[in-house]
Amino acid sequence: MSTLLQEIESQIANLKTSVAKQNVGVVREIGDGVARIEGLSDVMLNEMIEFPGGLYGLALNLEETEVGAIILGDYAHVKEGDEVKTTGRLLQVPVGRPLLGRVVNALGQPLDGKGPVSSKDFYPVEKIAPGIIKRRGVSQPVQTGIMAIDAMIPIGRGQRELIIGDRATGKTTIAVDTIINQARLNRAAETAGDRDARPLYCIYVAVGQKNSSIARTIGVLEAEGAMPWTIIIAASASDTATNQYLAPFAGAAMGEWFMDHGMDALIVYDDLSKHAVAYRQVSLLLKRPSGREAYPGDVFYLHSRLLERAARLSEKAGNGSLTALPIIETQAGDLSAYIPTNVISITDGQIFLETDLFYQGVRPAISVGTSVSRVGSAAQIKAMKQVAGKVKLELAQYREMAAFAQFGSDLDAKTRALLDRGQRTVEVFKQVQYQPQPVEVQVLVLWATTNGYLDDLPVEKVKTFQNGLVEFATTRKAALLEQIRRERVLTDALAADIKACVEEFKAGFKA
Amino acid sequence: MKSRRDSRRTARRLLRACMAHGQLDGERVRRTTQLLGARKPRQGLAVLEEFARLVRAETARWKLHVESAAPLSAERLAEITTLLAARARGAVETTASVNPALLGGLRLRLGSDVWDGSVAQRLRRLGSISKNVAPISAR
Repeated sequence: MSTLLQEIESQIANLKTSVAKQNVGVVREIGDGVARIEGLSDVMLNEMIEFPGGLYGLALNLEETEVGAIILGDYAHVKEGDEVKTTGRLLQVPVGRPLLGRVVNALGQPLDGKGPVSSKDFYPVEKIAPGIIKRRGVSQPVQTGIMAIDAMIPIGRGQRELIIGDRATGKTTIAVDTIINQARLNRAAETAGDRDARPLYCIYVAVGQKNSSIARTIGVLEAEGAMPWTIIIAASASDTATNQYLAPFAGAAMGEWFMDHGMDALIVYDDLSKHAVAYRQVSLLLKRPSGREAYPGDVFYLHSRLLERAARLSEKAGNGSLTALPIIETQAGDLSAYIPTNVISITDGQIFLETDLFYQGVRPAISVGTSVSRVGSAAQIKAMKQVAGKVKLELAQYREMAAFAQFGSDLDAKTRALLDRGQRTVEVFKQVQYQPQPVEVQVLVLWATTNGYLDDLPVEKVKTFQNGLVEFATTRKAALLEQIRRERVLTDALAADIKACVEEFKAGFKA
Repeated sequence: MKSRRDSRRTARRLLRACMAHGQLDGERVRRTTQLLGARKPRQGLAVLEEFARLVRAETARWKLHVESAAPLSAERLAEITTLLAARARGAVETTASVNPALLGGLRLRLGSDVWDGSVAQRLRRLGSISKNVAPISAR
């Protein structure tokens, strides 16, 4: 009751101050969600400003006599001569657990019809990334459940791994698979009552996508039971450019809350090409000078400051992490375009998806030669390192060699063996969408592949063998899989058990 | 683009030349405008337009507008002008208007600063506070 009285007294004290001082300006120009305002001499950069009717804007351009601002909401009724006030506040979004399972817009307002977001915490949309002292190296894995990625291009918690490729090559699928796998791992840890498990919360930011695509993604995540650990931020193609520009930053703020509270989070920006286009539109309307491909000069800074917010914090800073999976759409596989090169240089590696591979049936269509993870191998579990150490190199060699092999039939035995192994490895890495594989299953399959148990099988039977082996191990050798998952390293004894398991299955396998 | 930048720069320099003791000198502004009109320099029109915009913005900084619910006496208006001129450290140009929607009190605007001491503003604040205070049952 005493706090209640204090609250009332402070409100009375506020009211006793009879004069309210405000800094105001007048709208001189308005169009396409961008206003130019005269006055507002005390406005700060990125400060929220209030338009008539409770509409808010964001001051982005501070000039000598004018302020350029973007309007957050329906600007149809704002007109020239309207008075605009400063608020002294920066743009904030709700953050925290109440957002899990929700679909919100760039301002954190619900879009899913499940009522208001009951979050009490707010974070500024623009925030300086954690500094050097607060950070530590990446050492914990993000299990995507996609064998090709977990084996060859591993991702660590706190890493920024770019997913890049042409349209319709499976970029979003990789991100969605990763989210689904986190949900499975989180649920398994919860069910087992594992106190050491660190759940990975996911944030999916849809920028400039069709509403139907966003609805499909939400549908998949709901069907797979991933929503309790996921937040979706939707700024669709029909939203204003300002909302599309703000959405990734709002998502980063929501992810930072988990990181600051010692938890792990994963954020997917789908995609940053459209984000750059939205920012270009805002910048051109604000009459900022344009540069290459009409993008403003600070488009690199736009993405670098966004992606720098992904980090792994030190024990002292809470041991949280924010992993970022930005997505970039290329045009005809052109990696050297402006925005792709920018984001490639900012991130800690990229997963490049090729259209040709996709149409050859290699899905996920990962180009092994051009995909790389610069820090993730430090986070790979030892068992995976032991079985997948040489796979990436062998597969890259196979792709090179396969191109040459088309021109001649006489090949030496070594090349023939390389090609045979490569063909089978490619088959092993083919994976159906929305079916991520647990790491212990991946280790088992890769062990069989790298130890030549698939070499004598016809290529078209490899997938059948793999599926059979997985089924055999899950149903009859569950203890072995559990042992791999728990020990995380292949000891001689464990390797012998795996060998026995594979041989037992192979003995009964009819090709 | 370059010519536009040049004309902006020239206009800013002209504005600076028209300042005396931190405020615009009306006589200098008039002479500058006449000279620009007579000599017709390169991009003279663009310079003149930009100069007009800057003069308008600078003049607005020193404009005091007093709104009251009931008409104010000349003495009261002069008193307010003197007080705000001292605060702004310069001569201000005062205009006044009656706005019954204020219900009572005054609303002063000097440049882009507004001091609102009206009854309407206090009622609005009271309204927003009561909206933010949660009912006791919800605590």
